[in-house]
Amino acid sequence: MEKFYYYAPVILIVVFEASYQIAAKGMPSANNIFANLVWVYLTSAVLSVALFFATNKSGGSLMSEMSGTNWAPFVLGTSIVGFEFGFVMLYRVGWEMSVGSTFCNMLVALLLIAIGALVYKDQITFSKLLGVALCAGGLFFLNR
Amino acid sequence: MYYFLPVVMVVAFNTFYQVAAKGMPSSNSTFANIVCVYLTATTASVVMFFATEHTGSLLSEIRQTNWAPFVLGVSVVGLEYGFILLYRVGWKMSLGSTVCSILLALVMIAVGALFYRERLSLSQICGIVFCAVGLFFLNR
Repeated sequence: MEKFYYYAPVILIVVFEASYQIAAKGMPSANNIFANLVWVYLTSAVLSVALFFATNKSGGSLMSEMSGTNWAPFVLGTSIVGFEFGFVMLYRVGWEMSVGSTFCNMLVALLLIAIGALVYKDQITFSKLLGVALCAGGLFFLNR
Repeated sequence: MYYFLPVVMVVAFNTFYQVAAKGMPSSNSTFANIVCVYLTATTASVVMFFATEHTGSLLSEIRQTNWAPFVLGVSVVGLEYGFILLYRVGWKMSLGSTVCSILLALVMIAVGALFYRERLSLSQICGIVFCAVGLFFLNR
Protein backbone atom coordinates (compact mmCIF):
# COMPACT_ATOMS: atom_id res chain seq x y z
CA MET A 1 0.00 0.00 0.00
CA GLU A 2 2.94 2.33 0.80
CA LYS A 3 4.31 1.72 -2.71
CA PHE A 4 0.94 2.77 -4.14
CA TYR A 5 1.13 6.17 -2.39
CA TYR A 6 4.70 6.60 -3.69
CA TYR A 7 3.65 5.97 -7.31
CA ALA A 8 0.16 7.58 -7.19
CA PRO A 9 1.50 11.13 -7.93
CA VAL A 10 3.47 9.78 -10.94
CA ILE A 11 0.30 8.19 -12.34
CA LEU A 12 -1.62 11.43 -11.65
CA ILE A 13 1.02 13.56 -13.46
CA VAL A 14 1.37 11.28 -16.50
CA VAL A 15 -2.43 10.85 -16.92
CA PHE A 16 -3.17 14.59 -16.60
CA GLU A 17 -0.17 15.61 -18.74
CA ALA A 18 -1.33 13.21 -21.47
CA SER A 19 -4.91 14.56 -21.30
CA TYR A 20 -3.39 18.07 -21.33
CA GLN A 21 -1.52 17.39 -24.61
CA ILE A 22 -4.59 15.73 -26.20
CA ALA A 23 -6.76 18.74 -25.22
CA ALA A 24 -4.11 21.24 -26.44
CA LYS A 25 -4.20 19.50 -29.83
CA GLY A 26 -8.04 19.46 -29.81
CA MET A 27 -8.47 23.20 -29.10
CA PRO A 28 -10.78 24.86 -31.68
CA SER A 29 -8.90 26.84 -34.34
CA ALA A 30 -11.78 28.94 -35.75
CA ASN A 31 -11.91 31.44 -32.89
CA ASN A 32 -9.32 33.52 -31.00
CA ILE A 33 -6.92 31.33 -28.92
CA PHE A 34 -7.16 33.60 -25.86
CA ALA A 35 -10.98 33.33 -25.82
CA ASN A 36 -10.45 29.56 -25.38
CA LEU A 37 -7.77 30.13 -22.72
CA VAL A 38 -10.31 32.19 -20.70
CA TRP A 39 -12.42 28.96 -20.48
CA VAL A 40 -9.34 26.95 -19.51
CA TYR A 41 -8.48 29.18 -16.55
CA LEU A 42 -12.07 29.70 -15.42
CA THR A 43 -12.41 25.88 -15.31
CA SER A 44 -9.13 25.66 -13.36
CA ALA A 45 -10.13 28.48 -10.96
CA VAL A 46 -13.55 26.89 -10.22
CA LEU A 47 -11.95 23.47 -9.67
CA SER A 48 -9.28 25.00 -7.37
CA VAL A 49 -11.97 26.75 -5.28
CA ALA A 50 -13.84 23.40 -4.98
CA LEU A 51 -10.60 21.62 -3.97
CA PHE A 52 -9.80 24.39 -1.47
CA PHE A 53 -13.09 23.73 0.35
CA ALA A 54 -12.63 19.95 0.06
CA THR A 55 -9.16 20.09 1.67
CA ASN A 56 -9.56 23.07 4.05
CA LYS A 57 -8.71 21.66 7.49
CA SER A 58 -7.59 24.86 9.24
CA GLY A 59 -11.02 26.48 8.86
CA GLY A 60 -9.64 29.78 7.44
CA SER A 61 -11.78 31.54 4.80
CA LEU A 62 -10.73 31.47 1.13
CA MET A 63 -10.21 35.25 1.19
CA SER A 64 -7.97 35.20 4.26
CA GLU A 65 -5.88 32.32 2.84
CA MET A 66 -5.57 34.07 -0.53
CA SER A 67 -4.40 37.31 1.08
CA GLY A 68 -1.44 35.40 2.60
CA THR A 69 0.17 34.91 -0.82
CA ASN A 70 3.35 36.41 -2.36
CA TRP A 71 4.55 37.38 -5.89
CA ALA A 72 4.92 33.79 -7.16
CA PRO A 73 1.29 32.87 -8.10
CA PHE A 74 1.07 36.00 -10.28
CA VAL A 75 4.28 35.17 -12.19
CA LEU A 76 3.10 31.52 -12.39
CA GLY A 77 -0.29 32.63 -13.80
CA THR A 78 1.36 34.81 -16.45
CA SER A 79 3.86 32.06 -17.36
CA ILE A 80 1.07 29.48 -17.74
CA VAL A 81 -0.71 31.70 -20.29
CA GLY A 82 2.59 32.11 -22.18
CA PHE A 83 3.47 28.45 -22.42
CA GLU A 84 -0.06 27.24 -22.97
CA PHE A 85 -0.41 29.66 -25.88
CA GLY A 86 2.95 28.25 -27.04
CA PHE A 87 1.66 24.64 -26.86
CA VAL A 88 -1.56 25.46 -28.75
CA MET A 89 0.51 27.23 -31.45
CA LEU A 90 2.99 24.30 -31.50
CA TYR A 91 0.27 21.94 -32.74
CA ARG A 92 -1.30 24.57 -35.03
CA VAL A 93 1.98 25.05 -36.93
CA GLY A 94 2.22 21.29 -37.45
CA TRP A 95 4.41 19.69 -34.78
CA GLU A 96 3.56 16.02 -34.16
CA MET A 97 2.27 15.09 -30.71
CA SER A 98 4.91 12.37 -30.25
CA VAL A 99 7.81 14.76 -30.91
CA GLY A 100 6.71 18.33 -29.98
CA SER A 101 6.37 18.01 -26.19
CA THR A 102 9.57 15.92 -25.85
CA PHE A 103 11.53 18.49 -27.90
CA CYS A 104 10.34 21.37 -25.66
CA ASN A 105 10.90 19.43 -22.41
CA MET A 106 14.49 18.66 -23.43
CA LEU A 107 15.22 22.32 -24.22
CA VAL A 108 13.74 23.35 -20.83
CA ALA A 109 15.94 20.77 -19.04
CA LEU A 110 19.06 22.14 -20.82
CA LEU A 111 18.11 25.77 -20.10
CA LEU A 112 17.47 25.02 -16.40
CA ILE A 113 20.94 23.38 -16.13
CA ALA A 114 22.49 26.57 -17.61
CA ILE A 115 20.43 28.86 -15.29
CA GLY A 116 21.30 26.63 -12.31
CA ALA A 117 25.03 26.98 -13.10
CA LEU A 118 24.98 30.72 -13.91
CA VAL A 119 22.47 32.09 -11.38
CA TYR A 120 22.35 29.55 -8.55
CA LYS A 121 26.03 28.43 -8.92
CA ASP A 122 25.02 24.73 -9.21
CA GLN A 123 28.01 22.46 -9.99
CA ILE A 124 28.43 21.13 -13.54
CA THR A 125 29.53 17.50 -13.13
CA PHE A 126 30.79 15.06 -15.80
CA SER A 127 27.45 13.24 -15.55
CA LYS A 128 25.57 16.48 -16.32
CA LEU A 129 27.82 17.26 -19.31
CA LEU A 130 27.21 13.73 -20.63
CA GLY A 131 23.46 14.28 -20.13
CA VAL A 132 23.58 17.61 -22.01
CA ALA A 133 25.46 15.96 -24.92
CA LEU A 134 22.97 13.05 -25.10
CA CYS A 135 19.94 15.38 -24.93
CA ALA A 136 21.44 17.64 -27.63
CA GLY A 137 22.02 14.53 -29.80
CA GLY A 138 18.44 13.43 -29.10
CA LEU A 139 17.06 16.84 -30.16
CA PHE A 140 19.06 16.59 -33.39
CA PHE A 141 17.59 13.14 -34.20
CA LEU A 142 14.04 14.18 -33.21
CA ASN A 143 14.09 16.94 -35.83
CA ARG A 144 15.90 15.26 -38.67
CA MET B 1 10.83 30.92 -38.03
CA TYR B 2 7.07 30.37 -37.36
CA TYR B 3 7.75 26.65 -36.84
CA PHE B 4 10.17 27.30 -33.96
CA LEU B 5 8.47 30.38 -32.41
CA PRO B 6 6.06 28.26 -30.29
CA VAL B 7 9.06 26.21 -29.04
CA VAL B 8 10.82 29.43 -27.93
CA MET B 9 7.61 30.56 -26.14
CA VAL B 10 7.06 27.20 -24.41
CA VAL B 11 10.68 27.05 -23.25
CA ALA B 12 10.92 30.71 -22.09
CA PHE B 13 7.64 30.73 -20.15
CA ASN B 14 8.27 27.25 -18.74
CA THR B 15 11.51 28.60 -17.27
CA PHE B 16 9.67 31.53 -15.59
CA TYR B 17 7.13 28.93 -14.42
CA GLN B 18 9.82 26.83 -12.67
CA VAL B 19 11.33 29.92 -10.97
CA ALA B 20 7.87 31.03 -9.74
CA ALA B 21 6.89 27.47 -8.68
CA LYS B 22 10.02 27.43 -6.49
CA GLY B 23 8.94 30.73 -4.89
CA MET B 24 5.32 29.73 -4.01
CA PRO B 25 4.48 30.45 -0.34
CA SER B 26 4.05 27.38 1.89
CA SER B 27 2.43 28.96 4.97
CA ASN B 28 -1.10 29.21 3.53
CA SER B 29 -3.41 26.77 1.68
CA THR B 30 -1.93 25.43 -1.59
CA PHE B 31 -5.29 25.68 -3.35
CA ALA B 32 -5.78 29.32 -2.20
CA ASN B 33 -2.48 30.09 -4.02
CA ILE B 34 -3.56 28.09 -7.06
CA VAL B 35 -6.82 30.12 -7.19
CA CYS B 36 -4.59 33.28 -7.40
CA VAL B 37 -2.62 31.60 -10.23
CA TYR B 38 -5.73 30.94 -12.36
CA LEU B 39 -7.34 34.31 -11.66
CA THR B 40 -4.08 35.93 -12.89
CA ALA B 41 -4.09 33.60 -15.92
CA THR B 42 -7.77 34.45 -16.67
CA THR B 43 -7.00 38.19 -16.49
CA ALA B 44 -3.88 37.81 -18.69
CA SER B 45 -5.93 35.84 -21.27
CA VAL B 46 -8.63 38.54 -21.39
CA VAL B 47 -5.92 41.24 -21.86
CA MET B 48 -4.24 39.15 -24.62
CA PHE B 49 -7.63 38.59 -26.31
CA PHE B 50 -8.06 42.36 -26.70
CA ALA B 51 -4.37 42.81 -27.66
CA THR B 52 -4.55 40.25 -30.52
CA GLU B 53 -6.62 40.05 -33.69
CA HIS B 54 -10.24 38.99 -33.09
CA THR B 55 -13.34 39.09 -35.26
CA GLY B 56 -16.15 39.25 -32.67
CA SER B 57 -16.66 40.29 -29.05
CA LEU B 58 -15.10 38.27 -26.21
CA LEU B 59 -18.48 36.71 -25.36
CA SER B 60 -19.23 35.71 -28.98
CA GLU B 61 -15.71 34.25 -29.39
CA ILE B 62 -15.80 32.23 -26.16
CA ARG B 63 -19.16 30.76 -27.19
CA GLN B 64 -17.50 29.11 -30.23
CA THR B 65 -15.46 26.76 -28.06
CA ASN B 66 -15.45 22.95 -27.85
CA TRP B 67 -14.64 20.29 -25.20
CA ALA B 68 -10.86 20.91 -25.21
CA PRO B 69 -10.52 24.01 -22.94
CA PHE B 70 -12.50 22.27 -20.16
CA VAL B 71 -10.33 19.12 -20.33
CA LEU B 72 -7.24 21.38 -20.40
CA GLY B 73 -8.49 23.28 -17.32
CA VAL B 74 -9.07 20.07 -15.33
CA SER B 75 -5.72 18.62 -16.53
CA VAL B 76 -3.81 21.73 -15.42
CA VAL B 77 -5.17 21.46 -11.85
CA GLY B 78 -4.53 17.67 -11.78
CA LEU B 79 -0.96 18.23 -12.97
CA GLU B 80 -0.16 20.94 -10.41
CA TYR B 81 -1.68 18.87 -7.59
CA GLY B 82 0.25 15.80 -8.82
CA PHE B 83 3.58 17.67 -8.69
CA ILE B 84 2.88 18.96 -5.17
CA LEU B 85 2.00 15.39 -4.03
CA LEU B 86 5.10 13.98 -5.79
CA TYR B 87 7.44 15.94 -3.53
CA ARG B 88 5.29 15.46 -0.42
CA VAL B 89 5.49 11.63 -0.64
CA GLY B 90 9.29 11.88 -0.82
CA TRP B 91 10.41 11.84 -4.48
CA LYS B 92 13.66 13.74 -5.09
CA MET B 93 13.08 16.68 -7.43
CA SER B 94 15.49 15.34 -10.07
CA LEU B 95 14.36 11.69 -10.04
CA GLY B 96 10.63 12.49 -9.84
CA SER B 97 10.55 14.87 -12.80
CA THR B 98 12.81 12.56 -14.87
CA VAL B 99 10.59 9.51 -14.31
CA CYS B 100 7.50 11.57 -15.25
CA SER B 101 9.16 13.03 -18.39
CA ILE B 102 10.28 9.60 -19.67
CA LEU B 103 6.88 8.00 -18.97
CA LEU B 104 5.14 10.95 -20.64
CA ALA B 105 7.33 10.67 -23.77
CA LEU B 106 6.37 6.95 -24.01
CA VAL B 107 2.65 7.67 -23.43
CA MET B 108 2.74 10.43 -26.09
CA ILE B 109 4.25 8.01 -28.65
CA ALA B 110 1.41 5.56 -27.94
CA VAL B 111 -1.28 8.29 -28.06
CA GLY B 112 0.20 9.74 -31.29
CA ALA B 113 0.24 6.30 -32.94
CA LEU B 114 -3.20 5.12 -31.70
CA PHE B 115 -5.32 8.25 -32.03
CA TYR B 116 -3.55 10.47 -34.58
CA ARG B 117 -1.97 7.81 -36.82
CA GLU B 118 1.48 9.36 -36.35
CA ARG B 119 4.36 7.10 -37.39
CA LEU B 120 7.77 7.61 -35.79
CA SER B 121 10.86 7.34 -38.00
CA LEU B 122 13.93 5.38 -36.84
CA SER B 123 15.68 8.74 -36.38
CA GLN B 124 12.91 10.01 -34.06
CA ILE B 125 12.97 6.77 -32.01
CA CYS B 126 16.78 7.22 -31.69
CA GLY B 127 16.15 10.83 -30.59
CA ILE B 128 13.69 9.83 -27.86
CA VAL B 129 16.06 7.12 -26.54
CA PHE B 130 18.99 9.61 -26.51
CA CYS B 131 16.83 12.18 -24.66
CA ALA B 132 15.69 9.61 -22.05
CA VAL B 133 19.28 8.44 -21.36
CA GLY B 134 20.48 12.09 -21.38
CA LEU B 135 17.78 13.05 -18.85
CA PHE B 136 18.93 10.17 -16.61
CA PHE B 137 22.54 11.47 -16.61
CA LEU B 138 21.43 15.12 -16.19
CA ASN B 139 19.62 14.21 -12.98
CA ARG B 140 22.05 11.69 -11.48
